[in-house]
Amino acid sequence: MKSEMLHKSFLNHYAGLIVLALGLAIIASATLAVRKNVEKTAQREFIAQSEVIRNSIVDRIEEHARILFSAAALFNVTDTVTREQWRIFNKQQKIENQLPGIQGIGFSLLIPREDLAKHIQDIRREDFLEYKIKPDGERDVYTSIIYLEPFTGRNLRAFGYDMFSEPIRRKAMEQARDTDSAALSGKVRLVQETDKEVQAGTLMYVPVYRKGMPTDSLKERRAAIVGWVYSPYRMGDLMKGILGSGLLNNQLHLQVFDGAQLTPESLLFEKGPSAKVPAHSVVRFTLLSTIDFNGQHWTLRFTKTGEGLLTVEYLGVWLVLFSGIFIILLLFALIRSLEGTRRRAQQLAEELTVDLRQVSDRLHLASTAGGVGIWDWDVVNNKLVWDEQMYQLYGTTADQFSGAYDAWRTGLHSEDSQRGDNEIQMALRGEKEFDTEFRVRWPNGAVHYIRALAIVQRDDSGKPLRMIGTNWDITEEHRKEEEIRKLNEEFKGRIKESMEELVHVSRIAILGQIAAAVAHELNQPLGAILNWVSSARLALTKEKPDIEMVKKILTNIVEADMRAADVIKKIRGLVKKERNEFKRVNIENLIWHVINLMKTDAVLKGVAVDVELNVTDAFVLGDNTQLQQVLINLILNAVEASSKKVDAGIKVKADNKKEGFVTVSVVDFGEGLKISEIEKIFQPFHTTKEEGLGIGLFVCRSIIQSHEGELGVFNNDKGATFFFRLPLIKDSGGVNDNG
Amino acid sequence: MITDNSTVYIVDDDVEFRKSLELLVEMLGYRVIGFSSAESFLEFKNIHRPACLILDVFLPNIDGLQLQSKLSQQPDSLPIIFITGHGEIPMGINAMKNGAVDFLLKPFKQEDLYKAICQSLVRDKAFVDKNEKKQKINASISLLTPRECEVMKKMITGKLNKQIAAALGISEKTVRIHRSSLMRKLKITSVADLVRMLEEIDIIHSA
Repeated sequence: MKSEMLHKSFLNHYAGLIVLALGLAIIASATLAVRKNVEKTAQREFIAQSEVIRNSIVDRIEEHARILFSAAALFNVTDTVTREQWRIFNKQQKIENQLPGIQGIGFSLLIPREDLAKHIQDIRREDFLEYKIKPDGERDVYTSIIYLEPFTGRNLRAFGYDMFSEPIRRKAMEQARDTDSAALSGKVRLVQETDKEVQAGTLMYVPVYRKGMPTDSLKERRAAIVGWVYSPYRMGDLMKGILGSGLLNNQLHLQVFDGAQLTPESLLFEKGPSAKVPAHSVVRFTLLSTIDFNGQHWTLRFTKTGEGLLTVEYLGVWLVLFSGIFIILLLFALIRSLEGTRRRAQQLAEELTVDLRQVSDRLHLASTAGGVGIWDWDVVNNKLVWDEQMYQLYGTTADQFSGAYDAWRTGLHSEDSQRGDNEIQMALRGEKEFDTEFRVRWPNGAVHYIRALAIVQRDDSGKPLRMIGTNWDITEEHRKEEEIRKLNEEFKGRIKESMEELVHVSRIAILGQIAAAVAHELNQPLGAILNWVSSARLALTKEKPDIEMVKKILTNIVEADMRAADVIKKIRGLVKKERNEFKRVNIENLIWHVINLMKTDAVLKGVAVDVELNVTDAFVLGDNTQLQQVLINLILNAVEASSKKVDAGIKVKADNKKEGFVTVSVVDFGEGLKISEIEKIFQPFHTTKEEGLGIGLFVCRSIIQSHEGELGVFNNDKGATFFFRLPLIKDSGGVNDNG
Repeated sequence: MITDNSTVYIVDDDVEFRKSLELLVEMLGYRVIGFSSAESFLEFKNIHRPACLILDVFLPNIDGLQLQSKLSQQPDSLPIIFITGHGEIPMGINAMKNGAVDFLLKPFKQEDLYKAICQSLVRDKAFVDKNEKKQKINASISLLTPRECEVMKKMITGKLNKQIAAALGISEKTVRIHRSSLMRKLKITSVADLVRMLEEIDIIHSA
């Protein structure tokens, strides 16, 4: 299966490349085929074109021959052809118009050596006074061009020229004479040529025999010859006339050679773009073709050039190539894209498979590592499936488990089994999520705490089908929680003890602060007692002891002593450490009691205490001593804050303006508090005094808070006002009054 | 022992203590008048000398120390014995500096109290005597004529009759007449007597 997959994958992977390679091969061969076709067509066209040109040349030459023959025929009509007759005849031929390229039509007369002088005389008599035969020299026979039409321009130069004296021309003249046919000469330079625009030249001769003489044999013809009708041709002009402008296009090149030799010396004519062909042009086709005119050969060389492949001609080839490549690439891209999509899909599928397996593995690992058991209960068929972890959580094994709901239920602690039932039923009815804790009793008797969560799966009608859930052991957590709870309680207890201790210490500290006042209050009765005793002694040491006085004094001493005892009693409440008990407390009495205790201290510090109570029968539930402690602390602070002022005073007020509460305020006329200090003053060990623990206000606030009241401070016009507010209780009973 | 005609004034707001103290001072043989506040003492005008004041430091409104400073503004202030149920050393020093005779902490011994009272009364007696003498001298001086006063002032600077006459622009004889007249009026016999007399009433330093 794997190898098949690999194979498939290999195919899939290379399908695109294979298609690409095949496609490109097809395109290449198609292109080559098209190109071959194009070439073939071009070649055919070239051959046809060459043939057309050749035929034109042949036709034209033959036409010229016919003209010459017709001119020669003129000599058969009359014995003598006059110059005038010749002129008229040729004019009527209109050869310049009909056959462009012809230089003229002339007549060359054969002059035997003995007739030379008479001939020259005859011509000169025609008013050509300087007529002579060119070139000079002694020859057996002379010829002379006596007529040449048109008899103008460069043709005049030919007048009197002896063509027979020149070998090439002579050869053609002899051939014409001997065969009684038109003959073309080889390549010559015409005598008409000036030094400018020299063209190759050729001449065509037609023999003229004496009228009435037999010309059947060579001998007869040689004997009968009287001259030649001829035409000189400038090759360039001639060919121009033949080819016109249409036959040669810019890629067709024509060279005409005299004879079979293709040499520059034999080149008669060259026409075509070769002189100005671009360097990159190439010769595509060459064709050699010969023209045989009565034994005179011309070789025509046709050459076709082209500008490489980048021409319109090859458009089709390129079109095939590029469109083919384009289509193939398109196809390739399409295949690749399809393949990529398929491969990605496959990859995704593989990854998902791996992920799923990993998730499953992880879940298993997690549930095992975390000690989480998973259960699955088919509600309809009452089939309960546990995983391995579940058995461990219930201290049992798979073979001891029946796989039904009751098997679970029996594992529960007897005190929790009913509740467990209820939780399950509630979850099935959809009233409550199954999210609970219960205890299980292991077969060995050990009790474990289990945390359980579950979800219920239902059909469309909401009927429960299945319940899937988790269990894990939280016995350890329970133990720790219990431990923490115990520690917490112990800690709270210790805090409470410490707080009580602190409250007591704070109260003792008050004693230190009012020690002077206490001393003062005690010293008054003690001082009085000592005075009474001194007086009594004086009374007894008199000559006549005054017993009545001493009796009276003793009564006074008892009173003073009682007073001293009162002072002790008054402060003993502060020192005494008693378990705080909440009782009904009359606020009025409490305030007066404290004022009584504190006034000496205030007086000692030069501070007047003003009391303004606007409450009657105000009762709170609280610890009398602790509440006194609070008020003493506030008064002590107020006295201290005010004592530096002249005519200092403080005010103690009470009201129940706030419904259901009594508010006790201590107003001082000191410096007031800085904003930054207001919150700090209630913190422990914060003090502005040089002496003092800095726990006074902290303890006060704790005390008032434990009485469900509040303690606060605000700055008044001149100093600060500290107050505490306590909830009032209904005036009932009236027992347990303090004071 | 100075007991006769001597009065002890007591200011203390603690009734019980004041009563015990009043009785004790009475038993010691003095006339006693008690007050419960500084104000009531200040209102009381009929003070008999020689006398002394036993003053509690802590009193409502005007306290003992304030009363002391008020009283000391008068030239004939009473000697003061401070008493207090709670005293601090700085407070005592302050009181003594301002002329207090003693500073007693309650409870105090009878002997200490007695000693302080005696001391105070001796001081007040001397003051009273000196005051009487001054009054007598001042009465004699008031009998002198203005010219006799001028002559007297020159005399105590040790000038001779001739110098005095020149300074005052009168004859030496006239000086001598004024001199004998003032000596007679002042009941003295020598310049030394005059100087001693005037020292007694602090005139020499102010002259």
